[in-house]
Amino acid sequence: MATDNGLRLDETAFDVLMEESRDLHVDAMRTAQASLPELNDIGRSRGRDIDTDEIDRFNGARRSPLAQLGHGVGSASARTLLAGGFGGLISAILATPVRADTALDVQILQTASSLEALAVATYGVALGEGPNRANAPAAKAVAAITDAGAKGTVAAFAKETQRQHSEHKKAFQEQTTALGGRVQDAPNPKFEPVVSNADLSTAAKLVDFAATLEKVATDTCLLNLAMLADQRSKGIMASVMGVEAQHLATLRAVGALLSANATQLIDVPFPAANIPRLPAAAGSVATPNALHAVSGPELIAEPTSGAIQ
Amino acid sequence: MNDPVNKEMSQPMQDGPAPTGLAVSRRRFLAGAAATGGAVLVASACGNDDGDDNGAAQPGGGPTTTVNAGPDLDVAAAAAGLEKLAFDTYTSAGSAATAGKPGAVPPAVANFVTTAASQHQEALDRWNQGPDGRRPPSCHRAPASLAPTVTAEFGKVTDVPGAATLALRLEDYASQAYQSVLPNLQGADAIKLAAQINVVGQQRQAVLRYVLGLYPVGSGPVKGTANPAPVDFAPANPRPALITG
Repeated sequence: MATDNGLRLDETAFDVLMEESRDLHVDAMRTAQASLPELNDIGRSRGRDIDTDEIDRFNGARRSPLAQLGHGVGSASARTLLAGGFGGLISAILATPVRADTALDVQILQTASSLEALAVATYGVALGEGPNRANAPAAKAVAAITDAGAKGTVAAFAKETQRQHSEHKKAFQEQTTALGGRVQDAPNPKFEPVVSNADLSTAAKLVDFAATLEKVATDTCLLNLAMLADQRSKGIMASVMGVEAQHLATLRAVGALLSANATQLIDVPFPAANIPRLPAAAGSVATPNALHAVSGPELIAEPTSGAIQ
Repeated sequence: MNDPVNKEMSQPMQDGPAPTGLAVSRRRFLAGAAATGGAVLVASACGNDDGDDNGAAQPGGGPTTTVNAGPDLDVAAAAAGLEKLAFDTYTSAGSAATAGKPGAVPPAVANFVTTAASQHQEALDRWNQGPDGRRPPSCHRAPASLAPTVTAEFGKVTDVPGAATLALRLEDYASQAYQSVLPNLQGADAIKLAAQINVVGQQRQAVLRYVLGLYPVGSGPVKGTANPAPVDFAPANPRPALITG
């Protein structure tokens, strides 16, 4: 495998590993394909005109988590529940009205597509596929990794992760079309400037930033699960969430090894002989909490953020 | 996605000691109940299903009691059982490591075992508080249908890679179970909790896969043995092969 920034990867080893390890991602994509006929039916049933009653139902369903948390009751306990954590986050997200001319599920899928598009572009920049090719700071950061094995592993991970995000985007776009919505192919406008302005001049910074993007994707999928009504769409969102979560875990681990100047331990397939050399922190850095901690609204792609205007 | 409800979660879970002396009857989780969202009258969301579900009182217990519980509570009880199984397994691994059974345990592995045990304990506690933190399912035992299989497999472990492989199978099993029930959960609290736990479970898999020399993003130890059919996220009854490979 050759990347645009000139890296040569061990094709055989990586190809074998990736082929045997794609199950989670492949499962997600097959689930998405299987759902299309049903979504097509839903889309056809909506017709060309948006059913305002349906919008009302969606918005009502969207608010139901708040109702369950006591929103509107005004009790002290309800306010406490909504003051922080999930209730507060949902409350903040729902504070932004959903476009009345587009169904909520379509907006969620368009926004999910936009996050995937942004991820594809970002990994592409690191792989030297962006406008500045190999001169992009992110591409230079990868090329500057001194350990050849680590450099190859990081580049291969970026390439494979980019491919998976591309397939996620395609799946979300097909879901959008099936529901009668317009395909979103542009990067998420809320987070695109964040990518453009990020300091990606070192491998550690690049990996940390990629982890942030993966967390945005993971958290957004998680919150979407509570807002989607269609079971199949939920299933797809849950499957993609699992893949993004593993991207995040891998990047956390790689970032920790980079920060610890242990680049020689960034290696896939990882040799069993190196297990004793892993720092103790490697056992917990990827999973800092028993329950995944969801970020605040500033790091969530709310349904309107990527919806086509 | 297998329709409609995760069959693994539908498997019987052995309920814990009846805290008040009340006996609870036993039931098999009704597949589809969560999908329909209908109220389900259940005797216990954490019962076993070993053949004595005939309405009779259990030894030492009072009369069979029924409570009105929603499908999310059933899932909560089943999930608690799975978390208990994982906690027990990691705790046993920690004890074995202390005894030197698998040889020298690298620090990262020891930390992983301790962290995973603690996280599964917290997940168990959270499920036992109920999805909304107010309705305790009180499930404190591992699923009777799976625990013996896991115990037997654990007895065969002789080294760190073997222990990691068993842990990966167990994590994969749990992740698939969560993955399958997520679309069917009704309440925002239950969805949130299941998703938060599942994310961390997927991440533990990534770490285990990396350490075992596999590509970190994926499902299960080896394609074709531990994984169920694609799209079928719901292990069938009780699919011990997912644990044993």
